[in-house]
Amino acid sequence: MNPPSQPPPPPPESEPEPEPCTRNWLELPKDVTISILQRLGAVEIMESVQLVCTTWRSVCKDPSMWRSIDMSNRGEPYSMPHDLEIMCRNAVDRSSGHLLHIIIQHFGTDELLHYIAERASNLKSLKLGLCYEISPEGLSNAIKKMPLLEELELSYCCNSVTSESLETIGRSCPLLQSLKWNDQAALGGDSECDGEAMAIGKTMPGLRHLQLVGNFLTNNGLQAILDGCPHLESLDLRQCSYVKLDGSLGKRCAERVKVLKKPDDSTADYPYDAQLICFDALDGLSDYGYDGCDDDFDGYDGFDGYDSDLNYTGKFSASGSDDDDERFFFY
Amino acid sequence: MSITTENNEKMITLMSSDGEEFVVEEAVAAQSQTIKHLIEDGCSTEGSIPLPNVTGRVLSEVIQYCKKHSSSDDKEEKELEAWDAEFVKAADDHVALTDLMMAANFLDIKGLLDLVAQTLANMITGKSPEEVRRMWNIKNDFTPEEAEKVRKENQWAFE
Repeated sequence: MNPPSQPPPPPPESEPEPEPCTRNWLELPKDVTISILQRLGAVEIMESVQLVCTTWRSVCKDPSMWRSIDMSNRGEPYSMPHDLEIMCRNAVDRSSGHLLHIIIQHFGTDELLHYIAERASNLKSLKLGLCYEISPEGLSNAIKKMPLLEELELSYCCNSVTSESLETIGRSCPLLQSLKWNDQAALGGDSECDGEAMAIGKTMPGLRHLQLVGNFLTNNGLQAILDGCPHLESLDLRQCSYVKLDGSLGKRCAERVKVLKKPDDSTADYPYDAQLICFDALDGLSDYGYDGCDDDFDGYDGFDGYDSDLNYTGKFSASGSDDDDERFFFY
Repeated sequence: MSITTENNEKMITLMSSDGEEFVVEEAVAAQSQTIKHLIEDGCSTEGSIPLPNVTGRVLSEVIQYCKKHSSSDDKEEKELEAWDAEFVKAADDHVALTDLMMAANFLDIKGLLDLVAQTLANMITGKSPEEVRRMWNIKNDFTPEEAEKVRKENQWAFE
């Protein structure tokens, strides 16, 4: 809000009436209401907030409410009484092309990604978690239409990430600064694999933050990343068991990268612990702060609470202004 | 009136809508972009800065926030977070928070605006429309036709 250029008029000489101590929420200006309500998740807004009254209903249709769409959830889509994919499309429609940030978890198809890509060409941040139905082609084709992407998360999206899709992403998104691709160990594979790391090093020179928890890259892949990503500030290699940081490469890594998470570092603050533990039934779980495993994946806490050392919280900023998007990268 | 303290801190006087005066360091008051611009425009030299939209009770809370945040540096981030949490807790209820939100908006104090907005959002989380209405004393003003229209729009609901 712009301050007035002139000072406000002086208060009246007589003793002013004391203000009533109650204030109706509906007296708040629309932009203030938006700055509060947009902090809520999309399901909450669609299922509750917009049904409160006609004023809130109209606020919830305002495109500025939908610059960020947070569809993170606890992974129980089939027990929820709504179709998250339809709801997501509706939220994207409401953004009217103003969508900048979106989080999708536990649902999502190639068709949905295509739908978003067609309607959100200004997208800066795409975070996908546990989206098992997305294919490498679906991912690549959608991301080709998101040239302004600065932040991308592809955690546990099983089949969607290949060296080819990563190369397409790198070439299509020259502004990409942050990539989180946490995957392989969860898939139960166990062979060294540097193709994807090479693709990252080859096509993503602007990366500042890279998270590869549970990756099967070796020192060769790491070398390619260090060579290809000169601006790297944070690198998370936890559970990357083929990386050996005790030699000269480790030294180079430590010198180059401000915030380095090593393969053996604790994953206690990592939001996907439960998945790792359940899939990755290796010895030494206690090393990772494991203290009892749920039979299901409920240990997963959503995207919030990212590792503070990496300055990522995963939580959407919800300020009403357009000009503070860099707050996402703080993170 | 421009006063200078022993430490050479420039002081300014803020006057609330109910006539209460608060003398604060300029650096504290300048956390408000609105006040900062008024100072820059030379509006503080002739006496106190009147803030016709903010009561004394709310202004005193705002000043408390600004004092804390102008004296802390980045290293104390954790402590500041804890202080913020206590601060909104002390605001007591959603009515007081709504007043604080209005003041933060008028005075343009981004940190306070974010803090209070998040607190209010958290208070809504997990509540049904009816619970939210009760809490904020909001009237359900949907006509039957509108309610029907809303239901039709909710295509995501499984039958």
